[in-house]
Amino acid sequence: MTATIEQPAKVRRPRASLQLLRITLVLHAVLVIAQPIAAGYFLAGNVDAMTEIHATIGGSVWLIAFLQTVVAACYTTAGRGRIWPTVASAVVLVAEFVQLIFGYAQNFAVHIPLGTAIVTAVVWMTVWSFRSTARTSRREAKR
Amino acid sequence: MKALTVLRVVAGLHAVAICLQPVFAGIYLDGSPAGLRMHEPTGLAIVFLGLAQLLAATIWWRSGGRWRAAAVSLLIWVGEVVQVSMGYSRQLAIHIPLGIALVASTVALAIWINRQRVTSRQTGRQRVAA
Repeated sequence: MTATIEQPAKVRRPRASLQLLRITLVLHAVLVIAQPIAAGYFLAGNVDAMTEIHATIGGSVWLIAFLQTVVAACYTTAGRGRIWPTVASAVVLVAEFVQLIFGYAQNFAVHIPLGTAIVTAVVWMTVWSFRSTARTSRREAKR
Repeated sequence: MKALTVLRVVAGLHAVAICLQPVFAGIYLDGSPAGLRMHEPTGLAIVFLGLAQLLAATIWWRSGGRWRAAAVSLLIWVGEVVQVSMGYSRQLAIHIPLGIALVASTVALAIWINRQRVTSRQTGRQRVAA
């Protein structure tokens, strides 16, 4: 948001909703990145890392995913931004519930690959949100 | 142009192979030793794929492509060497987070590479981006 490009009137771009989306994504990314670190400490023999960190974050991170879905919906509708961040946020929200279920079921053949996919998706969305293309409206993005 | 094609194929294979690793690790942690029997050779193969990608990316860069692919490929390859040694020494507090970082960056780089176009400098004439 440093340089404002001269633009014709009536072009609406996401601004406040993008800032909110960025804040939510950074928070979300920090939490999901902490998950494999805590799991690694647990598997290395530190039980507290599982009961106090991994389980706590896992049980509450879906709230951030829900918040992110709402903010992304504002980005899409009020901000006239692209549609896919809303869809992707909703998919991540569902994936985190599935992840929670498979984690408590101790089904690691699903839990570990799905966890990797969630971290990849959230980090990639966070990086994308800070690129200039995230500032454009979806009408401009189509061109 | 050929260098980019080779790089695309190698990066794609590399990304697919690295996505198998968390699956095998999960199968192992579910109690099946077969998971670890597949995790180990796949991990070693990925280091060679990482090296092949570094080579292909360097050739693409030197023949007129972008330098970023080579730089990131180098970082990924170094990460993979560390990852294998941390895996064998059972340093799981490093192995698991580093593994996820490697999967994420390898997949992202493969997507980025496959979105690159052959530049005019390489073909000698202007190409229209699709």
